[in-house]
Parts: sequence; C-alpha cells; structure tokens
Amino acid sequence: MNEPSRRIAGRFSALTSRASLVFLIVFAVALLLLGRAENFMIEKAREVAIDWVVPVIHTVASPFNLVRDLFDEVAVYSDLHESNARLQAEVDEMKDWKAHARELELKLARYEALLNVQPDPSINYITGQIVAETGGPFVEAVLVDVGREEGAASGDAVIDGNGLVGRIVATGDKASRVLLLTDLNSRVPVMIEPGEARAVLAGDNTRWPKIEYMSSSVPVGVGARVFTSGDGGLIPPGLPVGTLIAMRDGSWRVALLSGDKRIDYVRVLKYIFPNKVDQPGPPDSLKNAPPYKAPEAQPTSGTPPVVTDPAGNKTKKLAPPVPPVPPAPSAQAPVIMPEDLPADAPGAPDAPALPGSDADQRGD
Amino acid sequence: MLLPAGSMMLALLASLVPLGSLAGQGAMPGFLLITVFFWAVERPGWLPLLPVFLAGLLIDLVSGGPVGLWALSLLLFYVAVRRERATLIKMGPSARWTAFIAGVLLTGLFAWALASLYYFTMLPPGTITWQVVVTVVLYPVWMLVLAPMRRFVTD
Repeated sequence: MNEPSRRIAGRFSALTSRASLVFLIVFAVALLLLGRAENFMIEKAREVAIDWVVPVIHTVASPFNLVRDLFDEVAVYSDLHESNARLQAEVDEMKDWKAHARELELKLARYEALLNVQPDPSINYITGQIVAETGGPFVEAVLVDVGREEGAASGDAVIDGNGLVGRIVATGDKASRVLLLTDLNSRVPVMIEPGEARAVLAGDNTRWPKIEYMSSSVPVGVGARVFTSGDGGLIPPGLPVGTLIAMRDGSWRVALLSGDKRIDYVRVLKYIFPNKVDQPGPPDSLKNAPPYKAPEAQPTSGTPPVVTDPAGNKTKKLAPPVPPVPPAPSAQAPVIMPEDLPADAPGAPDAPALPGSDADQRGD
Repeated sequence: MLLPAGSMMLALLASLVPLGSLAGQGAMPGFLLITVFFWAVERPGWLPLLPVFLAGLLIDLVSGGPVGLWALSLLLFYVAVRRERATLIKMGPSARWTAFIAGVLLTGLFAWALASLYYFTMLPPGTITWQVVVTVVLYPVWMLVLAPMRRFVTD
C-alpha cells in the first residue's frame, strides 16, 4: 500500500472510530433515559442477562466457594476453645429462655383460644443459593438460583437463617435478583416492639437502613426489635429484621440481623395474603326470599306504621320513631375532666402509661 | 482479538463471584477496569470500543443498576487511557499503577455523579470509595493473571 492510500485509510479508520464513540455515548445516554422510564424492553433484557449469567457463575464460583469455605474452616478451628466456652455459656442462657418460651407459648395459646385468633396461612418456601453479588457500588442486590421455573415471583420475601434479607425484584426462568434491605429503592413496612409502632424501613445504600414515617404515639428505645408488619400484604408479618439504633441527629436506623454476615443460602417465601373474600351480597337466609315490597303509604300521625316482612305479611309494628340524639361534645370520645378520674386510673394525668409500667404490661 | 475478549470475559466472571465480606458487597467493575487499562496500554488495536461497551452494559443489566452507567463509564475510561497511551507505555510498573489510581478515581467520581443524577439524590460516597480502594489493591494481583498475555502482544 502506498503512502497516500495508507494516509487515507488511517484517516478513515480514525473517523470511523470517532463516529462509533459518539454513537455509543449517545446510545448509553439513551439507555439511561429509557431505564429511568422503566422500559419493558430493558426489564426483559435484565431477565435474559440474569438467566445467561447465573449458570456460568454457578460453575465458576465453585472453586472460589471451596477456597472460601476452607478459610472459614480454618478460622473456626483457630478459635475453637473460645467459641466452645462462648457456646456453653449461650446454652446455659438458652435453657432459661427455653423454659420461659414454653411458659409464654402456653399463655399465648390460651389467649388465642380465648380470642378465637385465626392462625396464619401456611407459608411455603423455596430454598436457593446466592450465586452472585451483582449490585456494585450503587445497587445492593444479589442473584439467587431460584427462578420462575421453581415458582419464584417478583415481590416474594427472601430470608436467611437470621431474618429478612430483601425481596425479589426481577425473575428469570432459572434465577432471580434480590433487592437487599439496604438498597436505595428498598421500602419495607415494619413494626417495632415493644409498643407495636408502625414504620417504613427505607434503604439508602448505607449499612443501616433508615426508619421513616414512624407512628410517634408509641415511645421506642435503642435495641427495640424490628419485625415486618405485613402491611400491604406483600411480605408476611413477624419476620425478624433487626434492632433499632439511634443516630446523633435524632433519627432511627436498624442494625440488620442479616447485615454483617455473608449470605449463602436463602429461602424465598411464597406468601399469599388472605384477601380472597366473597363478593358482598345478601345473607344466605334471604337469597331465596321473594322480592321486598315497599310498605304502603301511611298517615303521618295516629297509629304506628305497619311494615311488610319479606314474606309479604303485614304483621310487625315498629316502635315509634326515636327522637334524634344530641351530638356528643367530641366526635371521637366524650371528654372526661381530670378531676372526674380516680387517682389510680390508668389514664389519669399523674399516671402516664410508660413502657415497662404495670399499665403497659397488662397484656402479659 | 481472542485474548482481550477472553480476558474481559474472565474479568466479568471474577467480578460477579460472591466474595462477600472479602471485598465488600459487589466489587464489581474492578477487574474489568484493570483489564481495560491493560489492553488500552498494551495493544489498543486488539480491543475495539464495542466489546468494552458491551461488557459495561452486561454489568449494568446483571446488577440491576442504571442501564448504561457502567457502559458509559468504562467506555470513557478506555478512551481516556488510550489517548494517554504514548505516555503510559514508557512508564514503569509503579508509575503505571499510580496513573491507574488516578484514572479509577476519576471514573469512580464520574460514575457516582451520574448515578446520583439518575436517582435524583446524593448517593453515599462510602461504597464507591471502598470500590476504588478494592480495585486499586486488586491491580497487582490481577496483573499477575494478565502478565502472561504480554508475551503474545510483544511477539
């Protein structure tokens, strides 16, 4: 190739390279905008990518897992003596807790029987393994090798041995992406005990998710346990989430039970919210009754009105109309002045119901 | 052409392996950045723009993050390194590592700013800082994997 031809080829190559660079930059920006609009095509592409990557990762990760397990084993053996002593102490403590738990279990069963509490619907689960930590610096997510074929669906809660881990946000045929509780887009309704204060656990890509929209009527303290509340019907109630920690700025965050440890095996919960109720309709006793006939016009004064029952018999007489009741001073509850209350009443101003007080523990 | 593609694939897979607490949650594009840097300096003609873009795009799709974020960040990093190739190729290993640190810092900053813009919120900088540190520490280790390929490049 002579010199001019080589020069032309070089210029053409540089031009092509520059054009492809501009095209790819524009394409990437377009993808960002499309993704912002939650485009269906992008979601589909994500599902295909997950299905493609997970089997490969499963194979590639095997030697890494072996090495990691080996390190874990070595770490366990290195402090065998200390961990044995610690476990023995924990066992002793647990024996006391076991007796206490049995006692509470009996008490709870008695109360449930008294209140006719309906047991929770049984929750099926699918066990899976975390095969990839895919999130990167801006997304807190993992891939689990349970997909549509196994019955996983978007929205399913995911737990490990410690508590709630997150929920499924995208499902492929063989794998799903689990959005962790720490992710910026994670929102989970929770309940804080004691006190049953309701709140929303909101991730913000930090280690400890925030507590938002907490019902302020109930006082809470550091170390209070946080469970799922089940509000919204997506995640079953009562799953342990973590413990409450206070920040210097007065806000609350949650130290997650699944936080510091490596997530390995998880369970995908198949929870069906018990919302299937019959359509509203007449009582069964009235379903076969003849149509209701309006009562005949009655004089406004004199004898009391006569009504016709569903069978068409004019038999039942109504009582005279009741005069209207004067409105209560408050729309919610009658006002009781403090001087009307006895000194030891639970609602008396001098005896506020504080956590831990007798008034607060009357349910026990 | 096969060597860059193969090494990129290896980097991609290594990035996705669940290392857990070993490298923090998702040390994702670290290996890819090192691999892209290696080929941009050693033999840019063997690695066109499209594979770099596609590798970043795959990371975006699998991660569940903004699609296009790492595709764009990785592409710009690659182009920037290629532009400075004449200087980088003369550098020794330590100086090249220092240059890599500067490049990764800028790329991390760009990705963080773009992600913050995408989510309309100031993302905590802690995670990306940790990712940059992990990537910088991984550089010599991953270079041991890539170094044998240099023989084919010089030949």
